Amino acid sequence: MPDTAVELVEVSKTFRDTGSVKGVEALNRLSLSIREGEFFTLLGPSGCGKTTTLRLVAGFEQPTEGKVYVEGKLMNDLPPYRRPVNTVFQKYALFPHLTVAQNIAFGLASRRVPFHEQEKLVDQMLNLVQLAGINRRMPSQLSGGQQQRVALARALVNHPEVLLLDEPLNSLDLKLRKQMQLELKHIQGKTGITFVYVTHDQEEALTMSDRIAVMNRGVVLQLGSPREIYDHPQNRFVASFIGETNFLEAQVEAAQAASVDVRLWNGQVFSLPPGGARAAAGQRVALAVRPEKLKISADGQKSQDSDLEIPGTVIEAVYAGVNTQYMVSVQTGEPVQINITNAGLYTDAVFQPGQRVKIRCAAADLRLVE
Amino acid sequence: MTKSLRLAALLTPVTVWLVLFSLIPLGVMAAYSFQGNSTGAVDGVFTLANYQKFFSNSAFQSVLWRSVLIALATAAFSVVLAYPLAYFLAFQAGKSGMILLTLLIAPAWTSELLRILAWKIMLGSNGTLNYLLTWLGWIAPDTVLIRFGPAAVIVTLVYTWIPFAALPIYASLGRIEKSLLEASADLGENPLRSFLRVTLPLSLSGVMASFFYVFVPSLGEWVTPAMVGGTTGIMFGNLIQDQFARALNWPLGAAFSLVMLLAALALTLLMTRVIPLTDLLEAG
Amino acid sequence: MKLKRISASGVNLVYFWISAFLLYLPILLLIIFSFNDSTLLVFPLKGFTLKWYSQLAGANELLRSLSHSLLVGLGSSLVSTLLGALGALALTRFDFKGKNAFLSLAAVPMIIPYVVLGVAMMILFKAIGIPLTLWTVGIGHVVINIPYNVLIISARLAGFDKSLEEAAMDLGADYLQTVLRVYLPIAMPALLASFLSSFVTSFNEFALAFFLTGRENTLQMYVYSQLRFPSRLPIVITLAAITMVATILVMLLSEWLRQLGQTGEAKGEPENA
Repeated sequence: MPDTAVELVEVSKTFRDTGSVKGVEALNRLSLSIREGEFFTLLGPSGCGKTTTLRLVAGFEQPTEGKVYVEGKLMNDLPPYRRPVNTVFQKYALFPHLTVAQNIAFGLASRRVPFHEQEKLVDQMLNLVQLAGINRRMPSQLSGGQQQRVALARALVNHPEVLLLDEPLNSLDLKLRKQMQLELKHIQGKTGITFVYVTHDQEEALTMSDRIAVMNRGVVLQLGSPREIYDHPQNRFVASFIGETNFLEAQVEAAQAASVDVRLWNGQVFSLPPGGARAAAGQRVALAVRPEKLKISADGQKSQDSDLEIPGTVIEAVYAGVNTQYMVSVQTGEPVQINITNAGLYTDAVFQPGQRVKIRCAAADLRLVE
Repeated sequence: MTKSLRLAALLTPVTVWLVLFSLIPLGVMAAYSFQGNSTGAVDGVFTLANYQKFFSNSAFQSVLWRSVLIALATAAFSVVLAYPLAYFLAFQAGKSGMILLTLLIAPAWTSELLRILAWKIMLGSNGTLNYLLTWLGWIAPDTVLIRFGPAAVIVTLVYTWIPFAALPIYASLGRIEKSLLEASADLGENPLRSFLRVTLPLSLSGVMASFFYVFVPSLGEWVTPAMVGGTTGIMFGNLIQDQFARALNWPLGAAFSLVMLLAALALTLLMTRVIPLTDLLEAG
Repeated sequence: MKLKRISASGVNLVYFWISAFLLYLPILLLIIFSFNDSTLLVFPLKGFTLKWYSQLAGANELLRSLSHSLLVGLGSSLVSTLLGALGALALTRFDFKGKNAFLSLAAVPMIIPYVVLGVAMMILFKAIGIPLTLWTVGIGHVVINIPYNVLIISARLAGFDKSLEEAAMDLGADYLQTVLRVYLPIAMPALLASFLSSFVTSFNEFALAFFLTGRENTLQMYVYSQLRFPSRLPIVITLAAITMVATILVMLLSEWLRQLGQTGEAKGEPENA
């Protein structure tokens, strides 16, 4: 059983009115457990509380209620400079009056590490982030990507128990972002330090994380591996925040412990695992299905062996390079999106707007959400 | 929380100093103004006599009125004369703007007393100005161009204040986006009209700030009138100073002081009512 | 039409330089008279001499008042810069309800005429039994310099990323350490500019000092006392010329420092990659 690096127990945080900002309840009885050595991501839209959670672990905020533990020790009331935790800031916060080497050594200097030892450790870190040799430069002379790496080195050199990263790749352009994602993952693996990462970019979260906590409005809506989150979303929010999802409105016919019978508008009934939904008979629910799991075929085609089958009319066909995205209107609810990968085999099966088609998928690809 | 303690530690020194050495003194001064005077000390008896003296004596009131007019004139002239300077620095000086601004301001930091002394040397009947003009043949010898008096006071004060008046105007001109002027030109306005319809209205907040910045201290001036005011240019500040330097009637001086402070505050409040009107000017 | 525009700018250019010349004229005048071989401060000039400068060394009272002004300037500038820095730190780094009230308080010395302030402080000192000395002059100078110092230092600090403080604390520095290792160095240009401008203000200040001076004169007070002795004026003028030139040089330095802080260095925020 891996050790717990960070634990939040029933943590609430309410911000009081200050001069310029109105009071707000940012976290509501949040509980979370992060394992040692994992790359853990807090994912959610702006205002969901992910940054507040991070700052509570760092010590920049104190919880209104609840307890924060790092490596089993209670952190409440401990100021940031006494916690075994370091942060990589969103805008890097490099000290403009210090050189790169002095920036990186800042935490070492705080702990009175001898000077020649500092130099050695700084060089080690610069090698780790692949910026060897720029010791004497000033932050203003560095590019965004370089500054970001220096910020990372500055935090890592102190060998924290936990490294907190607050949307560090936000200001970088796309290509650099992808490159840094891989590097961060690599460094995390190499050092074995627990990373707690905050982002609003779900693709980033899926790429880098061991586990993801999807948050909204101060609570965790689902916690799991990227695959679990993507393949088995437990509620509407997670299903729509991660990737793209279609929601087919349905109604519960009967609810048992292990499975729920759900009736779609076209009369089809599916027996599905309850997932995260509390289902009662008569309740309105939705069947969530990803666009890439759906198949589309011409109306007259013989019925193939799939579970879900609904007729519709193509509204739009958008060529998106990797795939073609079809918007198909159906009898009830929002138009359904189907993504077909553009492999050469299917070029003759392009469907036109106005065409009547059939949408199909396997029952195993349907998810029940409230 | 230590954060609040920190904040308190940072705010306390300034607060204590200013309360102790500006607010409380004003309070004590106000208290003094209601006291009678007996041989240079207060006698502890509450009285309105000092204020009665002010309100019954039209000479005192006319000096106050004159001070207000002089201050208004000074502020107005300073702002008008400083505006083109600020404009030059903001629009015509390019990169040297900052340096030239500094050079413009630098003399204003030197001793007021000494510069007024220099002006006294220049303006008097034997003064440099008269000498120069006589030498040029523009005036007859022994004529006096600017006598010591209100005019001399205004000239000297304006000279003192022009550099400082240019600062807020320069700041507000600097904030005007160049693209606004380009848009105005694009829409058919010649440079003069662009100035009147775009630049001037947008700089009005700086102009108003500049006006107040000059007006309040000018109202309280006593050094300049003492040196170049002659007999007709005495300002209210001199009356106050006189009570403490010569007449030793502190309660009366305190009362005068309070009157001046209230006048300054009242006029400032009155004039800030005018500011919303400038928004209307922008529309036109 | 084009010709009109050029000449308007041209007129303004000429206006600017004439104004600049006129602003420096009184100072030039005093410098000229300091070399004039006459006790009368009138034209025509009588001849070049350095005797006033050489007599300066023996003008004991004058020099003593000069030393007083230097002391008061030094002391009051240190205090007002320190106080201004603390206030600026509070205003730019903290979010609190009383911000406007504090700002208003800090601005009070700017909206009170010096004559009123001087009278009020003098009355206070008399009422609580404090004699008027160089100390009281210094106290008054701190009061009038606080607003400007808060302004300069705030302007400098406001340009820096708010996360710098958190970064320092994250890396093991407590608040005092953070102030010394981060805020002090980055605010330094503004601190120096504050100090210099406070010094210059104090050194040249007269209207307020008049009410707060006791037996020991500041330089300005001494000059004022000599005005009715025309024969003594040339020496006074000579020292005046020296101090005015020095003031201008110091202020140029101070402004350079202040503007250095506004443009040159990065403020801790990243550019786009």
